[in-house]
Amino acid sequence: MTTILLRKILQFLKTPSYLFLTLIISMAIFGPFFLKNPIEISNGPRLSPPSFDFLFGTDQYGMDILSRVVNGGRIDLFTGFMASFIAASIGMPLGALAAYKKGVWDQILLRTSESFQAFPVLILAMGTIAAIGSSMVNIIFVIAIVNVPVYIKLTRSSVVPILEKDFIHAARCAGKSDLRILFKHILPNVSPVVISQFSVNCAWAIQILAALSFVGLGVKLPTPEWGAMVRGGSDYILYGQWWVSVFPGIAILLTVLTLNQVSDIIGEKK
Amino acid sequence: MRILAYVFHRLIILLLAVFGVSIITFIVTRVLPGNPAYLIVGVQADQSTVDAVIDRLGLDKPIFEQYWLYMRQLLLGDLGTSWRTGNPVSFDLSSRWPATLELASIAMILAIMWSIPLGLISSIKKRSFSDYLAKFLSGLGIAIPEFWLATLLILVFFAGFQIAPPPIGRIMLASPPESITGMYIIDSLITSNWESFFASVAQIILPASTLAITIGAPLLRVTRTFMNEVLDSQFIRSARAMGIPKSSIIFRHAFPNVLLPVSTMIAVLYGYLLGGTVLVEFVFSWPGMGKYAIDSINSSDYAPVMAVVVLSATSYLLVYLLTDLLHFVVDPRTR
Amino acid sequence: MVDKKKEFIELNKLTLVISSKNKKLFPLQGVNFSIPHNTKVALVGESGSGKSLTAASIIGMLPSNAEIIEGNILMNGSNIVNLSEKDFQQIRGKEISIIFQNPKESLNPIISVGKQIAEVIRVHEKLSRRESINKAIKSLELLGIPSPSKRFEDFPHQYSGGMAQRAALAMAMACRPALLIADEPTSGLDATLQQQVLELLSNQVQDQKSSLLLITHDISVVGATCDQVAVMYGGRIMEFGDTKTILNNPINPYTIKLIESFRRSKNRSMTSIPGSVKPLVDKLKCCPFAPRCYKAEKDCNNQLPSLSFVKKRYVACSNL
Repeated sequence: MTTILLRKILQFLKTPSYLFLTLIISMAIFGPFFLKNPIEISNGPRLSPPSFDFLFGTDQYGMDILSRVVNGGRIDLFTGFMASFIAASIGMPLGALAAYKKGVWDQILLRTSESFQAFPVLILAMGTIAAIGSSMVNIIFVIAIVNVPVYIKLTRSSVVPILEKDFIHAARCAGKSDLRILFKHILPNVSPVVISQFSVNCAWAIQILAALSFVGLGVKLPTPEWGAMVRGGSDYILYGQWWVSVFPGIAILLTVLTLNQVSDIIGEKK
Repeated sequence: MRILAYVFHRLIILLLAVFGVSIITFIVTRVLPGNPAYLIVGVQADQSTVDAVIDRLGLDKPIFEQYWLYMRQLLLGDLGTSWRTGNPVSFDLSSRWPATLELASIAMILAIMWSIPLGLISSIKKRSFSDYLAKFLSGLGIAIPEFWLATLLILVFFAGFQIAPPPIGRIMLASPPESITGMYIIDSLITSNWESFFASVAQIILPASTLAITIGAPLLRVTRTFMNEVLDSQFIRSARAMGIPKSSIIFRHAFPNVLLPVSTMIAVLYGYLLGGTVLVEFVFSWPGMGKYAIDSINSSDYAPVMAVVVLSATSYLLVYLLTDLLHFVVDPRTR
Repeated sequence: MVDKKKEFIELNKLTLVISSKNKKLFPLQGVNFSIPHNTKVALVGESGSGKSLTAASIIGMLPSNAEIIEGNILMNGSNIVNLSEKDFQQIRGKEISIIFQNPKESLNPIISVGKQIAEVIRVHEKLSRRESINKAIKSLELLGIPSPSKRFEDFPHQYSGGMAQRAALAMAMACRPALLIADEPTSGLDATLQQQVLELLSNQVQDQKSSLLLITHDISVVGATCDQVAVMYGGRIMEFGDTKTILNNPINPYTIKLIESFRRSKNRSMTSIPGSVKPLVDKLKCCPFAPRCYKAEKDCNNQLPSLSFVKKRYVACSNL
């Protein structure tokens, strides 16, 4: 049993993107145990460039940037995942229901999520966070809401062709309840597309979070969040002290890139 | 005649969409916690000002009446007042909107210039250097955080090579040209104000390039995909089977078929760009709509924010409408 | 053997390899057959038999990962296998034309039909713009399209399916090629339409004294239309010769079963040949049909039969 599982895991890890994603997630989960998050202002060197002691250098408070980047992983990844998950939990059933029921409500939902595309998402998110406060819950909530229309549209367009298929009709004729058909027959057929979208969505959620924090409306320093860290170092950029902003930015880039790649792979395979 | 009917049909849809946008925006302002009056006059205003606002906006009236008053204001062109700047919002926007428009337009032009040729070439020459380059750049451009890229460009070109001007606004070391369109580059060209022209161009290069990279990446990907699709189609195979030379196939047969979907994508991206310059404007202190919105948000000054939201959304819908119309005119299949 | 001077196209021991990542496939293995001048030849086989690739080889439009590793293709005696793309451009549309399934898909949707035909004419003949337009209109007329000058301006979506078929054919025949290849022109059509298309092809080809290579999986359509038929399986020719001779008295077991299954399916009872077509990952050492053949004997699994002239046709079978 275990050898089969082990073999499957090794096969999974052969794909570079999957491997990378696993590494990033592992770093986020386990990293902080090895590299404790520096919170107190230390007596260490301030703003020192990358060296053997401090691989990513130190910031203006003497804190080791490598540790901060590793610790920041938890916040970014968790927020991205949660926001995406909530958005999917709301959007998918709505989309499937809209496709299934058709009629007026379907049209209303469709038009609404289409016009949502027109909105400047970032500005709306910023404005809302500013108004209701930037607690973690609020941030996750806002990012989730912004992503719901994506899932509605996606689920709806994936479900519509399945509805045409005969086995749905057969299930209906057999008297199965709508809800049961929805969960047992429709949703499973939609999953590959949705998983692929979920990965991309996580990436997008992380980017929104980083942007919000960058402008000062998301997670605030000294909590180590990658976007906030880029902001923290931006003043020193003008003097050429690049490491404070560059490394967290690389973290965002690599995470988003990996999630996008994973999404492409899943989208192509199935 | 059919064109007129189509235009009319699309205009109705546009109006409905703008209507929808206004409703959603209205709901958002009323749903947020706190007295909306404070959102409009600021938390430091005295009671009489607040009362005046409540009275003017009818905030104590039933919600439908409130909406009617809000719409009436909007339609009369009254976008409220920014208590931070002290000006009517429409006045503030009259200088900031062209700034964003200029930035977005230059960025779009730059994006098209680098991504479309690369997309086409990489599709034609499969498995070549350009193919791998295109895949790499499109993935990178999509994943890179915009604000970080902006910061990076400042680091490299201003702090590093010292060939870019300081990232502070639209023009330095020269005075702005006479205002005709509000877009410095165009205005200085029209008035032959070369000093202004070069100063404006210098300031716009870095922010526009940042946007050109992040917008060009999806455009590159889409151009490649469309071109690949076209090149695999049966009519291209057929043309080749008839002995038509490769250059004719690419320019006379493939390219025109790609133009249509690619131009739709350009329009969508442009519409998005008009509302999506926020981060770049923030980093480069570019005095456009985006920065205006952020400054207002940070001061809890919400009338400008709502105005910017409505304006952005409406611009997007307008761009979309224009593209649809262009499509209708150009594509023989719709006639 | 056959008088070489009379053949327009000749395929000798044509062998193809398709390389992908780490696999190699040999979809054509030593294909031998020929197409005489002014003759209608059918190439019949199931999907996977290699018939479309054979056609692609003749006009030099093989996929980029395919390579001819053995044999040659002679056109009027000269080998055309290693010609450059430029040289092939002279041949395609002028000496040899091909039309595909779904004629509407073969036309560029955003250029008028007439302009596309005129373009083909201008590429191969030194005519002025006006002259090529006139010739294109003429070719539409020749194919029975009403009001050809108006139809010249129309776009493909304004043509009905049948008219699109005629337009595509007009484009293919505009420069009077010596050979027209029709790749599955009747697939997916009902019986009446099939009849119409075959008649159309037949007449056009006869009027211009061209040859026809009809590629199809349906052996029942070749009887009325073609003078000669070649039956293909597993990348090899199983039987080849005069149509009436073969249809009335097939020798190769595959041909026999093929005819049987189409005859039976016309009579509504289901017959199929047991087993399935396997992809050719190795060079053949025995008859490709042996695993499924009802007449297979020991020899059939040991040697690769070559074509021999038996009972007035060529047949490849170890068990004659």
